[in-house]
Amino acid sequence: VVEDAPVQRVPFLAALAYLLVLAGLITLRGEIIALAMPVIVMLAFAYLTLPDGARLSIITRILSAERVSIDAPFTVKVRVHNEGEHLENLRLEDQHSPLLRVVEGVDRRQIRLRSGETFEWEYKLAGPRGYHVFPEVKVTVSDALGLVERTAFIPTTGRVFVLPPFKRLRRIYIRPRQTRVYSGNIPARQGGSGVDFFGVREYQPGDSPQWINWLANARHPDHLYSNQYEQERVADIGIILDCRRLTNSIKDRSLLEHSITVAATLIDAFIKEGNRVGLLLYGQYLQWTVPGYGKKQRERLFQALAQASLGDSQIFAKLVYIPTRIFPANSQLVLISALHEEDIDILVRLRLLGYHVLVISPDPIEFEQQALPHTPQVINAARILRLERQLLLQRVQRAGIQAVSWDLNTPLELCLHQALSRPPFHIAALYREFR
Amino acid sequence: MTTSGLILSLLTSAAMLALGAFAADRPLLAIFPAVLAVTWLAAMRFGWRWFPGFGLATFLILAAVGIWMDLSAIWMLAAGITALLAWDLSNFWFRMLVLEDEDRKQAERSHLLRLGLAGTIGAALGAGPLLIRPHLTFQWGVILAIIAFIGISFLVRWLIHQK
Repeated sequence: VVEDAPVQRVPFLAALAYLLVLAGLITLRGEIIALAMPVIVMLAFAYLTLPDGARLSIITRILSAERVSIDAPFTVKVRVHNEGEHLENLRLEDQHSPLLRVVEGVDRRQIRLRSGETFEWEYKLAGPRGYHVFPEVKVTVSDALGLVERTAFIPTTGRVFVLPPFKRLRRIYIRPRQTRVYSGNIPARQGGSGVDFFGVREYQPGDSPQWINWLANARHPDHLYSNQYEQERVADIGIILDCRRLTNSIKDRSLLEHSITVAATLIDAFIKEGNRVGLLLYGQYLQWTVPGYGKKQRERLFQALAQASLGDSQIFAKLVYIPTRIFPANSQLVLISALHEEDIDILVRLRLLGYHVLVISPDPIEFEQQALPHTPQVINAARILRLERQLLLQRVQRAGIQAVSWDLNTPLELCLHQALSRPPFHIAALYREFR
Repeated sequence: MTTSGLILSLLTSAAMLALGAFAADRPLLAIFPAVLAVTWLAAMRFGWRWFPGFGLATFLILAAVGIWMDLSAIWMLAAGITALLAWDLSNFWFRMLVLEDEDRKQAERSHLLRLGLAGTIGAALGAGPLLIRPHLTFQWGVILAIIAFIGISFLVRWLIHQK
């Protein structure tokens, strides 16, 4: 419902009163002037009953949660205390993001508030992913008939993060060139204590008798040899989320929400394994969340994801401006992008710089096809585009970059589990050969 | 309650104008207020927020024309007052649409009470001169016009600056 503009009613009534008085004077008919009296009385009524000013010094807003999942309702409680004069017509409108929708109760109230009285009401909101702030409460007081209104915006505090959805993954197999010193789950390319076989070396005092390689000793009876296992440590992982409209937007639909779900799932899995994870949102501008460990970092990253939006920047239209210096040398990079043909060179450059790159690419063809009719033309076009995309992904893989294409019809956790829960085929084959 | 009050005041206003026209043996003039009242109600149904203002202005002009045509001034005044009430209730009705039931009931009660008070005072002040019937000379007319101009100007200026 469109709000009325009450202030326009006063000039309107005044114009009518003028007109009647003028008509009475022109025709010299007092009865016509008498007709203006009720109008003038109404204006005078507004003048006399309009409060001098509202002093609503205490306005508090309490949110039942500061972080919720998508479309999960949360309660907003607003409390108002009147420290001024009696307010006959008081309208309170809680200002919140238009993306949030009221699921229970109302976000505006029209009340009468006596001096010293406190009023409290609550309602429930739910909404899409995002960072939503509650900047102020709109307070409107009016005269007894609602002809004149005084409006004020009283600042308040309140914010809510609607976090992106994510799936639980058991393990993601990555193998960066360099790891950190703390123990974790990622193969460190160094011999020591671990699970996976790494090599054989001469026995050294302190080696566990269980590590002794009896086959090697049988061949060389003069020396003792013991097995080495690959150390497992935590790694630096930089996640790059492609927020460019160029790669995400297909007509009026966006692939970004799917990419964000992938990012949230990976963040959860990597942080759970104790890794140091940072996040770069590449779109309208560069939004970098510095790497860190633990639950607090997970929260920071999720909050950054909650604020992610599509970007139209001309500068960041290509991935060429990914600031490589912010990622530790030889660390693991994960790019989540639908991929564009021009992005291949940048990925190759990242690989040449020593980063171990993993690309997870939600399938844009499947996404677009979902919204199109299943005509033979569409099916043929989709086949051609799929071939092109397959070639694109093959080019990426040939550069030594691990690439996973996510068909949106497949559950994300299944896709990632199949692709990332065990070493890539070439690494697994090397292990077998080595043993 | 607001809807009933609105319909009642609209029909009363139209009936007063029609009665005045019938009393002066000009039944054709009764058609205009009747049509206007029906259109006003239809406008409320379709959500035409501009129509109540137009309706009030038309009703008041019809009442003034009626007085000028020597129809009963009391009927015309009554028609003007009820049209004013209908205009106020129409705006109030639109404002009430966004409120929830609990607030609506309370706001309706107090608004109707205050509107009734304002209407009664307006009727009394309007009917007074009609009963006393003072003779309005040109000099008094000019003085009254100046006072009215200054008074209403100050009032309006004050009211529209209440932000």
